[in-house]
Amino acid sequence: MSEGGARFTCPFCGAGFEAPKTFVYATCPYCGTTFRVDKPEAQVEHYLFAVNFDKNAAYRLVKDFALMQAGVAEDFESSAEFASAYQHLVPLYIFEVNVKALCKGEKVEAGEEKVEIDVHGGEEVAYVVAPATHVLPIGVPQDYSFPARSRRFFKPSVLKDGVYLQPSLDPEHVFSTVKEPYLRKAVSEVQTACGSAYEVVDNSKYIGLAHYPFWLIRYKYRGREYTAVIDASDGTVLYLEYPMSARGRAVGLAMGIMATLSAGLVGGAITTLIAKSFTPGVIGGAIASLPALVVAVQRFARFRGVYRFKPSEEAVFAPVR
Amino acid sequence: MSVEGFRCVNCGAPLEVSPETIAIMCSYCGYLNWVRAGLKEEVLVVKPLDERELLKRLQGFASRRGLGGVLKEENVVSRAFIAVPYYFVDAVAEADYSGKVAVRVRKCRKEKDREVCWTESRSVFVKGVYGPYGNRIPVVARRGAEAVSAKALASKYMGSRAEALPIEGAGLGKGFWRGVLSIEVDKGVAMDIALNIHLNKLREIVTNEIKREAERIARRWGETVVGSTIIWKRITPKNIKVVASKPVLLPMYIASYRYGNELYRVILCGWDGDVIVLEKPVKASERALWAALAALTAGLLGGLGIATLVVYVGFLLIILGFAASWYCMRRALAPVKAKIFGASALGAMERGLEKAFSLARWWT
Repeated sequence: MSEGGARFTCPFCGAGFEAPKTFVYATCPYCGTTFRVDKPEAQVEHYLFAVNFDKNAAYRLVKDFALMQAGVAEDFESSAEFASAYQHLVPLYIFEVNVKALCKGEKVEAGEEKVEIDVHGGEEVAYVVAPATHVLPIGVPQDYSFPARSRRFFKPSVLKDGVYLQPSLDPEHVFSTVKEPYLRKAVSEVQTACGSAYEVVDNSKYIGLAHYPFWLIRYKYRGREYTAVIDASDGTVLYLEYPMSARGRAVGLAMGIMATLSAGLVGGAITTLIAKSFTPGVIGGAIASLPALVVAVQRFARFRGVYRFKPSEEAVFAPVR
Repeated sequence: MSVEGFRCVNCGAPLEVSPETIAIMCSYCGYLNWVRAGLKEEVLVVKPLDERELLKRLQGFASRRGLGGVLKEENVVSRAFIAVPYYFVDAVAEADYSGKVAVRVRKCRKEKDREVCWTESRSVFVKGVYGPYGNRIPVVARRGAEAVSAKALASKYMGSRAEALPIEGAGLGKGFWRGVLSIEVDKGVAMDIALNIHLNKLREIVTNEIKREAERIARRWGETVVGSTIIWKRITPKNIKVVASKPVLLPMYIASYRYGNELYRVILCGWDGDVIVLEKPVKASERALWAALAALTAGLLGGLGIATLVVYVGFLLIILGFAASWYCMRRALAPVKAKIFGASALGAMERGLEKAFSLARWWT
């Protein structure tokens, strides 16, 4: 291994191996045990999300999804050729945030089935999943919700299947960053409830490390290369480049221009009705429809179409994955 | 940590256990092995409908929606039951509140032949107790399962009161067990989550109540109220009681269909076959409709805007036209999938906490 490497001994099987010094966790390449480099004896919960879509299935998803895009090349299905597929295992930290800001003298009676509280301040509870490395080879959206299904215990055999990314960020540091807004909210709640006499109880926990699989797929269409990123566990298309057809682009642009023209006509008709003059309405309608024209031009003025998964849109409609 | 080496208690055959597993049926002898024995007595389950019956109901829904030819048996790509664990938590709380509110009032005076109006601010102090405010809150017993279909399933369950049976007596098949999601959230945490949701809602309600009450008082003074701002407030939740149910597994059925090049996905409520959501590709005609709508709204609002430009309302209308045309054109181009919600799911979702769904109803 290159410079900056250090020698580690697996606390479980005793094998020695080399890994970069920057690692917070190391995974033994022989038995798959994951341990904290500075505390090898501490147990680490290490999970792996199953690959439910292999590279052929993932490429099929890419093609299906591209075919659904407006303006995609007509001969896409027959002319697109698979080029390569790499699996990236992205490391994630899973945290459970649970903070309470109690009013002074607050009495809590917590049983197994019920909780009773006399006077209460503030509280925040959430599960947070955060990337465990800065260097994500692929664009995973910031607030991507990782599906709940298909979690397994980590197996070393997956190391050979793909690009295994080691977690490089300090989990405590990441934890305090993700916790910050929740703490702030709980404190603001308690201040609203009982002024400055309060006490913060932090029961937040670090749950463990998980590796999540993504496919980075490249394919060719008429000599040009296009890229796509697929969630290998649940098949969500995160990013997709696709070729646009000349006809599709022309139709799209024409549609944008038509929309603006018709908006002008409708506007003109309105002012004719109200004020007996046509031109001002044409201008008004056309101006109001400019954003639509911009959207159409942005989309169809280029050869390469791009789709990006938006968590904010999917959060409302996404099924359980 | 590892759970490898799990064997069937009855016949000794190896069992494939994952962190998800609560119980697993041995594929050799069919014996039900409990991996997490502690949950055996505890967990309730709503029994799913027979798969054939589910597909029949889906077929009925599809033909009413003009998709009868698409969602046919031979087009199925994949289908599976999953059972999602929930806690249903009853929460009740009161709140002491007080606050100072700046209420804006409209004043007018006759000056010779015309009326002159302006706004003034009145400072109003309010104080009281709100509640008891109670609610039943579904908490998904999974980490990171904030999906809408999970919420819809829960509110549908609360609306329908389908019967939940102890898990052992329910007579569930092998196929069902493969799809059971393990319970990851313990009862204590579930109650904390529910408390958080409940009190945030209570704080929101009481904040509005403080404003409303201040405005009421100002009106009683004979003022014409135009708005109000809270200067400071104190909201102290008290007498809080939170009670959690046993964990309940609710079945959900997911199927996907391929029709030509198109992919359809559908989620059904597992115990009565109601469609929760159906995802389908956007048709060219739908895109054209949105584009036409972009032109129409821009034209209408732009034209009206120009006609009323002398009054400042005109600018507002044109800006509205901007937004409408932008939105419609993005709808025309961006979406690759469209969703249809089942009627019962929509109702359940509206009864739930999601405001977004009144929008969804308008949309579908």
